[in-house]
Amino acid sequence: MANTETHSTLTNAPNANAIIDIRDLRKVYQLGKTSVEALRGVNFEVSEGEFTVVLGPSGSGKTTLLNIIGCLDRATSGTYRLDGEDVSQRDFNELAEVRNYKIGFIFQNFNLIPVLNVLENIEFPCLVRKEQQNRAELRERVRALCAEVGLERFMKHRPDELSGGQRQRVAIARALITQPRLVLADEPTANLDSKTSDQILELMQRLNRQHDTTFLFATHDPRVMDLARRTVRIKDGLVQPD
Amino acid sequence: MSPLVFMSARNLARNRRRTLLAMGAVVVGLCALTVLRGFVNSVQQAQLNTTLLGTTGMLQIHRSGYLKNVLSNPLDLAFEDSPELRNKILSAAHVRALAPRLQFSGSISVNEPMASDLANVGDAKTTFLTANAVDPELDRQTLPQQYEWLIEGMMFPRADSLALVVHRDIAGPLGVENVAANLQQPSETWPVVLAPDRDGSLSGEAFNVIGLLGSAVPTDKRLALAPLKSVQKLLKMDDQITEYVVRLDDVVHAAEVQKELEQRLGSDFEVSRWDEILPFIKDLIGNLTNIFDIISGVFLLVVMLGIINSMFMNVLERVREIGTMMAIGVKQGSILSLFVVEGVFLGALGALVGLLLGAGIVQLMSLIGIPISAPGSSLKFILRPFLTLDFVVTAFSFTTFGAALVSVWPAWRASRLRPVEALSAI
Ligand SMILES: Nc1ncnc2c1ncn2[C@@H]1O[C@H](COP(=O)(O)OP(=O)(O)OP(=O)(O)O)[C@@H](O)[C@H]1O
Ligand SMILES: [Mg+2]
Repeated sequence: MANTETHSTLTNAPNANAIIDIRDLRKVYQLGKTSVEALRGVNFEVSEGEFTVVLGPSGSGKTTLLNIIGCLDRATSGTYRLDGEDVSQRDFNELAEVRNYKIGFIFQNFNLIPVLNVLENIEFPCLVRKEQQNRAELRERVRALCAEVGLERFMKHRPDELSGGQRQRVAIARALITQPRLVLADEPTANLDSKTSDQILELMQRLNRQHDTTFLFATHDPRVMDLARRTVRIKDGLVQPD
Repeated sequence: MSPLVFMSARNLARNRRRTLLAMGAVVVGLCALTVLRGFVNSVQQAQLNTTLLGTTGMLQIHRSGYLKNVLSNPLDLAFEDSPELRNKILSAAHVRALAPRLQFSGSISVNEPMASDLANVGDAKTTFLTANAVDPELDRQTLPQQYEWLIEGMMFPRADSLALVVHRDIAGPLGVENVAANLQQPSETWPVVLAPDRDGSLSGEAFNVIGLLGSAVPTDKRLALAPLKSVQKLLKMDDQITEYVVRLDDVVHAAEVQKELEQRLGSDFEVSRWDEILPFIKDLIGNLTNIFDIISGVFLLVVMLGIINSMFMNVLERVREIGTMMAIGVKQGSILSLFVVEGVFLGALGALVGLLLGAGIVQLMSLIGIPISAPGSSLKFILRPFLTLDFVVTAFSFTTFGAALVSVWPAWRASRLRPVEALSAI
């Protein structure tokens, strides 16, 4: 293999700079006797610090792809390297650790823990770690993040006392508290009105720049395209060439 | 506090309605169990007291071979009641009181008022008696419970009185149930006790009936109390008795004192514990315990089913939350312990409240007292329910441990959820 620099996605050598490196990824859902091929040989890479939007119509395979990237699900075949490591052979608890240390999740329906208040929700990912946390220092970081996402007045509130936009801000802060290598957001604005959506998008982009955190954002809303530095189109389980 | 224990406590505190509902089952179950235990305790204690302080005593001392020959004439195995013998027994540790008894049987008859009328000669009312001839003072010290069954009249004052205390159901047919009236009667009209002595020849003596026994438990209605000295004279058995009844400071020392007395008294005598004399009473109490244990088991089973049910509801309601925790990086073991801890909290808290509530009710019942009458008995008996620390500790730990155990099942199911599916649950 000679010219690896320009055609890195076509070679078999792993790309050392890529946070996400996916080769020929396939996912087949078995539904009784029929099977659905949700991903049919996806290749793509995401480099550190990128803000990438995965755009595709409903049913195109965005969630399937993000679940595999987020180590929540396994591919049927193909390789996936997260931060240079092949995670396909890890067991449940090892994957849990990978998720905790490397990935932040932002969900469409926020998924905050209802019995914890804003502050507790945000610090939760750090508290489930094996090693002892410096609670004072952690609280300080939570406070700083709260300020960054505009929640400093709501730290003692519980999720059901917040608006949708505020809840998503909590989720964003929770995704960032662990200083992850990668933040995955699957349609984070689908449950929000367009004005709030814009604010959330703007916030995520700002955080992407300020923290240099890699964002991968899945949506079927073409409006988001304009905001993204990079767009990956997906259709029928295949990444479309630009 | 570990974040998971904290979360469990939070979950229970913040889902108050569900928690109260689930705890309700535990509280009601434990409360009912506690009240039942208190009641059973008092029944068992009443049975035990009747035996230990009313009829049999804690230990009995007889001539060797007595228990093997209970059916033969007890008088054959009589022995001499001497101060030295009494001292030997009384000086042993834990012995609190001692009562000599002479067991005998005979008949008691009352002549009709018109017995002088020739036509009615022999028209006497007669019934059989198995009597304990006792020293009233010593008997009261040794078997105090007996005197609570003295429902009318009084105990004869001295061992050489010519008076009897008989069961009410005997006095009625004999026409001597009016003890106040009996006291006014001249000795010629008193009932006559006829008893065979050791040689089998009958002797008779007139005794006035001055007290009536009722009993809280079905005992032999022919049982009567007679003055020891008078009976010894009647039977020509001066200073002879058939047994000593021994009261200890606490019945738990029975076996120990039994050994000690056997050594002191030698092979001429046998020392028997109450449960050797009346094994069926011990069985009765044991059976009650077994029945209670079975009922407790059923109660606890129902309580545990309640906990399993509410824990499954709990898991089901929180599938997406579980998915979220898994995505965030909570491991399977932690999800498992999260729900087990919740189950333990439910069990422990429910048990605590149930026990407190139950203990309160037991306390109240004990203050008021529950009057009961056993079948076949003529006396109302006041039961005073009580609890032992042993029961409280056992009930609490069984419930808590059981809750932990049964929570493992729903908790395990929660921990085995697949993150993707859990996250997409509605
Ligand atoms: N658990 C599953 N079992 C069976 N088929 C599935 C499952 N999840 C997804 N699919 C199928 O895989 C395909 C891709 O689904 P996916 O959810 O990834 O699409 P999506 O792009 O996220 O759609 P949307 O924009 O509606 O969220 C669809 O045809 C869907 O029906
Ligand atoms: Mg989707």
